Amino acid sequence: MEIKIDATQGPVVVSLNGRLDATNASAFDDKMKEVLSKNLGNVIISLEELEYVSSAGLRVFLSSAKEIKKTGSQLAFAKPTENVFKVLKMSGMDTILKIYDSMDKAKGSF
Amino acid sequence: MEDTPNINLSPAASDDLDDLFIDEEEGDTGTVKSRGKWKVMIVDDEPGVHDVTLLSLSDLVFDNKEIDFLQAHSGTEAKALIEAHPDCCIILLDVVMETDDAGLQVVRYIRDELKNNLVRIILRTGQPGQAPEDKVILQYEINDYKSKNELTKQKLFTTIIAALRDYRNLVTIDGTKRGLEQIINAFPSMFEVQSMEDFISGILTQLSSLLGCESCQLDSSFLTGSSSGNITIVRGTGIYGQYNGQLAGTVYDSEALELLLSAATQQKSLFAGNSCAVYFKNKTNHYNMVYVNSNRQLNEIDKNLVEIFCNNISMAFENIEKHKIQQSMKLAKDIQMGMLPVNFSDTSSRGIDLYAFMRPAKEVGGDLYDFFFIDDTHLCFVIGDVADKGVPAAFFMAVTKTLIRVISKLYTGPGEILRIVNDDLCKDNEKSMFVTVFLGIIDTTTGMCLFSNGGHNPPYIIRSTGEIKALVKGSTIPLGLVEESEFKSDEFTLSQGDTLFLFTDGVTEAMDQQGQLFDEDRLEQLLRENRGRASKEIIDNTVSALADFTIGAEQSDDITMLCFNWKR
Repeated sequence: MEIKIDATQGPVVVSLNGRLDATNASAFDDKMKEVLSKNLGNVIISLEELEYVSSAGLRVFLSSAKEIKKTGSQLAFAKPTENVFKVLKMSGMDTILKIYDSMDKAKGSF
Repeated sequence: MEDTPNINLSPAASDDLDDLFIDEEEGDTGTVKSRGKWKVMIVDDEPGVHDVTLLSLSDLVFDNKEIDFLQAHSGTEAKALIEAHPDCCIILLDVVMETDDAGLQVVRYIRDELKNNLVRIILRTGQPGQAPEDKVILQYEINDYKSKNELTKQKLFTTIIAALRDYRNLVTIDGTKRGLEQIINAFPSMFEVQSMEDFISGILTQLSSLLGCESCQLDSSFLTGSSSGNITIVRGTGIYGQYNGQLAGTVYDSEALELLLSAATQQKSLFAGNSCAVYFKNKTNHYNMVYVNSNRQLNEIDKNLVEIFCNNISMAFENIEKHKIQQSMKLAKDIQMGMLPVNFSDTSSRGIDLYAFMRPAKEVGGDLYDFFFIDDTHLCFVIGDVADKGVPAAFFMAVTKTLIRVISKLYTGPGEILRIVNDDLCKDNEKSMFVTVFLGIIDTTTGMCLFSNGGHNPPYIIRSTGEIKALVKGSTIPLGLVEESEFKSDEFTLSQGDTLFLFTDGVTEAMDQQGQLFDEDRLEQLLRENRGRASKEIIDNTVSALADFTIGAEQSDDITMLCFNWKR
């Protein structure tokens, strides 16, 4: 999995691709912590190219969402693939995370 | 461990420690007297309402306890009275007294100023126009709303019993939670102490506050014994404060001595009425005990709490001895393993072939499993995973597990149990931890199983016909995240020879040396191949398949499984 971070303008966009699972969840967690500690404002995680997320990955989503709340900023998720959205829905995460089917909608949500 | 402490202290008691207990000993005798009664407060400016209420409820007995009535005739009086009696269970509260909203002001005072959220407040109004039901129940933290003419003797009786039941359950949950918080808060500080004296003081202080209450008298003592039979008091509090260094035989009455000797012989903690003898393992030929005597009956919650505390304390001795605390991971592991039931014979005698397994990772996660009978025919089984590692995760796991045990005895629906556990975990959850939990309750006579899933990996049902499927329905979010979440209950029925297999993601996300995951496909294949086998065999085979798969790689997460066959 690759993690790309674009903080040039507007909300920070973190793009993921491939598989997010126990093999790379802690690396992703560290990356998110680093981004959040800089206090750069709202963050969008782009799921467009993420094919798979395991429970270890979901945990990082949740802890990031909790973490960012403390800074007063928000976290949104954009364009989950069908497979990933199924997992988000099955675990009830769709009820507590802000998930949008396009990047524009995610940007417009803040 | 060869160098476990041989406790041999000079009998110098710390003054600070003694001070701590003087207050408790003196107590407030006024409160002590009314223990064993439910305090119900009547607040009304009409004397007639007081008379009718007293008459209607005077013979009420609930849980073998009578009612002790407190009476106030104005809002101001009520505020003073509730402040003096924080253990009041129910307030029957009039709205219009010295002012049109005097009663509502009392509600605000109790909930916001006194922060008393336990007392059940039942608003009784003769003029519903002054306080419309819809508006009031939403805006004020009251528990029930009745118009005065609605409260016939029978209705009042029912209302009070329901409120008392609520109150009792709340107190139980609250007590467990507070006790566990104390344990959690106690451990870090107990591991920082530099001397054995401090450590013993710490144990006595913690145990006393665990088992104490505001008006309790509590006497405790720390003892050391050896295989030669002598038991000596190392340090005492309360009435035992003056006996440091003396032989137990010369100090205790025969009842206490008998309890201590039985505990020493059986090498376990024992409870008898108001007393308990807590036994600490010690790997030399010395052992330690704490004897606690309260002036109240010790209950199930007390026992649970003391056991959790003691399960974890014995290893602390080793650390204190070495004056260094490098082994927090070992502590986490001990907490986790110490809380797992390992006796599977109870279930097999009732038609359930159940087996469970856990192997903590090096950096312990917070996996848990549990199973216990709620009544003769209903088995509750639980698997869960705390989303963190190390000692904090292990404690969060301990809290979750204990809450589930306590709340399962009070509520029957899996969804409802998880809802209440969740609400409790959310409160004061500063570390933002959360836990996935799957909880099921199976009727062992019919195979019907109710369950609720808080964000946990779906278990598998393996039918005797060969069909295997993941139980994906009914999943909601993990516990500890969002207060007042709803948790759905769902159901399925097992037929003869069907198997249920629960696991944590340490199984499916076990990694081989190349970083490949074991994943669901391999697990399903394995379960298919093992269909019809005994639960222990299924789990053993999974464990060895995992070992083959991950050979040469380090285990990164706890691996936990629980499996049972119904009427195999």
